[in-house]
Amino acid sequence: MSFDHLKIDFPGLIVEGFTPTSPATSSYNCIAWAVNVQDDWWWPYGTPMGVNKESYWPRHAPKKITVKAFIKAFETKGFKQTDGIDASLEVGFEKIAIYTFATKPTHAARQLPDGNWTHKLGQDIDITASLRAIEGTTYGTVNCILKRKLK
Amino acid sequence: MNIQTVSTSTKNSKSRFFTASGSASADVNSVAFSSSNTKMLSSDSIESVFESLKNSWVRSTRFKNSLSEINDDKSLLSIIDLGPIVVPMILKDLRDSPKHWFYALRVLTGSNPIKKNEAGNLVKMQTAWLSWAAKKGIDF
Repeated sequence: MSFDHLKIDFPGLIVEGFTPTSPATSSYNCIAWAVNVQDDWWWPYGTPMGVNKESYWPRHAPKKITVKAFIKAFETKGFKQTDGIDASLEVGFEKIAIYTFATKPTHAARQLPDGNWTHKLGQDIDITASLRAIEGTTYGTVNCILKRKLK
Repeated sequence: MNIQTVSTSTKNSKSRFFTASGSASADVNSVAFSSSNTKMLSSDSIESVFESLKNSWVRSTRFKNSLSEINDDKSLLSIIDLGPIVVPMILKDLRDSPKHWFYALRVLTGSNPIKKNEAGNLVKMQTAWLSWAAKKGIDF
């Protein structure tokens, strides 16, 4: 199977390399995948005070497309924001990176036990790649890192 | 007829189809060909326009994680502009290859069979809409 379409939107993959790890699916997005969920689409969609009609969003997180709201959503799963952008592997911790484009969250990735990162690319496939590999005009850049203790 | 000639203001279409929603199946069966967007097209043409717009929507939103951006995509809005006649086409695609058609279905039919605790789960939302279609007797 050709993955050339990925390299158009994410040219960093050409240099950094990547490994496809799943078939394409619309069942879950990167935000759900960051917390290991594969049967829900996480997104704060709908009117600010209304319910989400076609996506899941944690009840205690603000329904806004802001970094603060996304951090709150990940906090419901035990993650806490770290100081600075430390993407190194820390034994006993699991990390999530939030990407933003023009200050709006666009993507999240989860660190794997080997220090590499797993990315769900929208409705397309999951890949293993570095954080830098998918930075660019599609998802922007890494804005912050969160972490939680591994159970 | 090309795609540009069939699309009009989506904002107008949204409100028109929402207000015509006394019965969703009645929308699908009776409002469809009275839509100003579709009355000049044969059903074959509509299917072909629908397929073309669907492929464009899939291509341009494949990497989107934002449901807002998936739902606001111009190709999806043009599909909605075609009117309730496309509901069976959407249901067929939802059955065969599930995608986030739910906003379009909600706008086009004025219904929302998805329960609050099912929101976000593609399989449950797909099942809810296919059951809704079966109850309304919509063939696709």
